[in-house]
Amino acid sequence: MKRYHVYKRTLLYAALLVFGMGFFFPFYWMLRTSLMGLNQTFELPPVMIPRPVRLDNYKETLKVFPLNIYMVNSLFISVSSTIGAVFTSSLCAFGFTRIKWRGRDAVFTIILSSMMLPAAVTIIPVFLGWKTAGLTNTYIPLIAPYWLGGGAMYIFLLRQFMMTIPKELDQSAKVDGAGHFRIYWQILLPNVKPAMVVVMLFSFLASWNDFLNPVIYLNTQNKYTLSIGLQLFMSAYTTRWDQLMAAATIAVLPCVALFFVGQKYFVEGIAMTGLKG
Amino acid sequence: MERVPCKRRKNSQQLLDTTAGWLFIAPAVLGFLIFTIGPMLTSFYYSFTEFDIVSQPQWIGWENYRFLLSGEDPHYYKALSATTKYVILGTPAYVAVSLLIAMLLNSGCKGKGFFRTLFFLPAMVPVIASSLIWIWMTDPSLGVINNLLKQVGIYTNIRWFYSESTSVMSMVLLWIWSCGSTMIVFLAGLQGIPREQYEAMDVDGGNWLHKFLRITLPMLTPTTLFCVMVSFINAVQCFVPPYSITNGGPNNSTLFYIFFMYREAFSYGKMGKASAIAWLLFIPLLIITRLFNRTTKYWVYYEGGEE
Repeated sequence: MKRYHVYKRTLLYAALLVFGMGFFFPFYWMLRTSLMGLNQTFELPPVMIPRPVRLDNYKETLKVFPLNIYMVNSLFISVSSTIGAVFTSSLCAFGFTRIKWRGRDAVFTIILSSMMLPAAVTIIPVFLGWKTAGLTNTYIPLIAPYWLGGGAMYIFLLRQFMMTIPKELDQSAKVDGAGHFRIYWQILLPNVKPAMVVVMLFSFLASWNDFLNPVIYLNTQNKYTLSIGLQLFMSAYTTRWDQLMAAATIAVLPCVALFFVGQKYFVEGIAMTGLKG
Repeated sequence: MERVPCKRRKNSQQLLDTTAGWLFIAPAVLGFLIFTIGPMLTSFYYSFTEFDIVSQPQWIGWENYRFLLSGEDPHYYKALSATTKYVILGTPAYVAVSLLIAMLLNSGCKGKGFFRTLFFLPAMVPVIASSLIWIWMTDPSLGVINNLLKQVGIYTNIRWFYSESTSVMSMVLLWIWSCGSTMIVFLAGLQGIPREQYEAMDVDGGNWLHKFLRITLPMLTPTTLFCVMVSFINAVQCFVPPYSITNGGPNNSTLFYIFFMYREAFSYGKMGKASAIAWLLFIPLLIITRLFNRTTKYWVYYEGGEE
């Protein structure tokens, strides 16, 4: 019995290790290639550890890859989107949970149904709409959707969370003469902070990693985001794997950092809604 | 006499609340009208027109649909079969790997947090970055994968993304690598299964396979249903890898549906035709998800019956 147990444990850790290595290896390979000289990237069989470690790759990459522009653009878009998503989705969630009005749940169901719709059907008409408004090649088409609730998922998440906050809190504020907005602002918001952080992280990441929309809407290089900047760099430097991997590392790092900052919230948020970004 | 003003106050309070409610949810309603319903209706209209952005849309009736479905369009059925292949190969593998890793993590191993982070990280990075990494690793001559295989004695000439026979499979691998968020959904589902159930099975002398088939799988069906649906829809909408890695090739083997639609609309400016392509995806997708939902009562287990 004991023997069987040990055998099972070993098998479990072996499986975890094999999968873990498989999942981590691409990151290692990216980092490895970003730290070696160009000649060494062509060596066969491939060298596992770069020797000497060459940090200059990053310096040289930054010379040809206008990262500062892309990074600022991406940051601007993502931060503006995130503020909008957090603010408007919490407003909507409040309207769906804390105020009683006729037809509320029916409206919620309709809005929720849009969560499962494939975005593909709306891409073209939405683009044509922005084009008619003369707003293509601006950041507005990328940010505006986040200021209109940011999609049903965030509202759903905050609504689920708000339903766990006791109603008595509102009641006592109401007795003190507080209006809906004050209850929202002073009572609900401070109480749903964890869920707000989840929405914040998800919307930031969704906006940061978005590819399709920037490709459709942005057409001058100085407006590019990090993702499509990377795509452009990739098509121009097809064999410079040292620099390509350095650029990829730079693009990956903010996401990894963000994950470590908000790890707990990510895991909770995904478990709660089942969705990411 | 007294009840009348009281009732009126109640009514006016109700009116106030209704107004406030609608004001609070106004962003969502506007978003739904502007970014969902409005576009869907206009897209439906455009699908019956010839529309190249520069000139006004011209009504041509069913022509777009006829052109696509009759096979006159050289790429439509290729796009359909490429996506179907990706979805059929990818979705079960993706869901199975997510579940397998979640179960490994849930089996009381040490360092759970560490491994969870490890498996989740690839899901966080921009798809374009992961595409770049995978192109490099799968390079037929310089890439690490083929060379490692060679070192252990498997002389392969797999051309991964560059060959018609392996390109879809390579994209499936790339997709599976980012299964982290689905894995976390499964992990949450697994943690919801009461331990006593397994202990009872231990007493009865059931082995791990019994536990998996009689407890884990049945208790996990709602989670599985959800994951299959979301993965299915994500697979159907796969866009970045064909755009950035293969450009739909080789020989259109990765001309995935959304990429095909994107190309017709934004490279060739055929907005009407592209709208028809979108609707030809949307309607079967709606039917499939409905049918799928309808079968759930036969296999999805909800604790405590109706909820």
